Amino acid sequence: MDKIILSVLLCIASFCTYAQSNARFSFDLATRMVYNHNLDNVGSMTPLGFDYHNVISGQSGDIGTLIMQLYATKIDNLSPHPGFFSDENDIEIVTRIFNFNYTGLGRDLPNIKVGHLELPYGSEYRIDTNGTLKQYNHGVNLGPKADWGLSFNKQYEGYEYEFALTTGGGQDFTNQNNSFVFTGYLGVPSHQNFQYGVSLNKSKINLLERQSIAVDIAYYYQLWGMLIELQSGERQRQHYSQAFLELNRTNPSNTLELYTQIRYQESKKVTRQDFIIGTDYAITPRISVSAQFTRLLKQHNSQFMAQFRWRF
Amino acid sequence: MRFFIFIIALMLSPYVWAEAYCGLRDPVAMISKLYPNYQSYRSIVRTIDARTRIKVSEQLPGMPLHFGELGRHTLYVIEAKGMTQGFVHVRSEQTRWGLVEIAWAIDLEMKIIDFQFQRCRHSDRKHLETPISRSVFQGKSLNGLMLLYDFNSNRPSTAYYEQVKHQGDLSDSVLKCAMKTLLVTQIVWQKELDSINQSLVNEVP
Repeated sequence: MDKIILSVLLCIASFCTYAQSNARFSFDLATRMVYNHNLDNVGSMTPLGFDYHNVISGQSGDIGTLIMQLYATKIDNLSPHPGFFSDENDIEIVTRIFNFNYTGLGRDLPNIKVGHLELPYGSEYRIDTNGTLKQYNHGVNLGPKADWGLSFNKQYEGYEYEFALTTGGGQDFTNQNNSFVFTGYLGVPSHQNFQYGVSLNKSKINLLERQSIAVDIAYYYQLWGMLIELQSGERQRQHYSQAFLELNRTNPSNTLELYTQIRYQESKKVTRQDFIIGTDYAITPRISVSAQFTRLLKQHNSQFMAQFRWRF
Repeated sequence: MRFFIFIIALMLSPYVWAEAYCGLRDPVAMISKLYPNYQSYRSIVRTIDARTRIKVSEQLPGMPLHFGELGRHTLYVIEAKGMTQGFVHVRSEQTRWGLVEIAWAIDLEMKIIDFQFQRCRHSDRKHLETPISRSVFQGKSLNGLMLLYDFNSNRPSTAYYEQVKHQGDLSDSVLKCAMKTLLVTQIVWQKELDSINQSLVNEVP
């Protein structure tokens, strides 16, 4: 609760001088319907929160960027549900991104990010999937998508990197069972039409040990985009390999996107093959609707999700 | 009734970024290319609103800002050796092959120094990245750029196509983007530009 009060006070203080400050602020409301075929269950998730972004500047340059995203998230009859909810009907304060990235060390030295940060790994590193139905592989690869800790990061003309060490708690600030997550990303800048990078992960979260290496490639041409992620690693000393492919197409105004994803994972114990197809349409700059169908071929299950999102 | 009007106004108001703000990234690679010797940059975030849109449509008729261009935007003040070197502002323009984002380097006199495509998936991109094409924009003020545009037919002049050595929707978009960038920067960041220019005058012995 303290972090909510502190965040709100900071937002209010900044908002008082909004017009002449570097702050960006938005409320964010979404409602998501999830249908699970095997369970024949319809559940929902409704997050309502705020998204705050502020670049702190001094006379000689930027000092850092503060991002705060807190959401009161209610789930109804949602099964399965994320682990930080106690059961399928619950309401929790969910921290998405909540960090300060100190950029004041100059052009050559790294930036230092502290707080709840998105783990730098794989295709997800380059693409904002915050609050969207479309996701990449963080859940499958790493467990948490964002975690409490710190990172060193920097963008240069020809490459960018981020290396993070976090507590493994996900939503939980405290470190339990000596958990930790190390993730790192090194690649060419995200604005290029042909992008590639390599990622590393080594973690122990509540005694579950993981380590992996991934190579990701993205290529954009005209209205088409293609992303590939190849990964090899160990989970509890069991080797696995994974391939991921996405093909997407947008319209010229970038308000409509259609995408399909294929994920193939192979190991001694489990093999998964997922097929995903979805769309996202921004009706106005503030309102978007999206839908996604997922077929889990090996689990013989399907899932359909639809979402309405309003930022105001 | 007022409540419903308020709700509708909120829903239609475009001043909010459609995606989460954590997706915002500074154009560091662009700044490095445009100002190879820069030491630091300072962000100034201001609102491009409906009043800006009206002023742009008055001064650049037939070239309105689309609603996606409104909202909070950043002007980067580039510093080196304790002196302001110029500015970088990134604007987007729609083409047949998607949105093009261009980072413009602007000098203290509000003239174009150079530009870099931050995002461009257009197949004609290479034609606009040649030294000859870039030189058409370099050193031009808003008035200089406006001479290359035929406002009666609402398209670039023949002279522009001849100079840039390419005729297509991307070359049209780059010229429009250049004009809008200089005009919007002067409208929205006028106070800050005046302050910077004043401080430079005061520094001269």
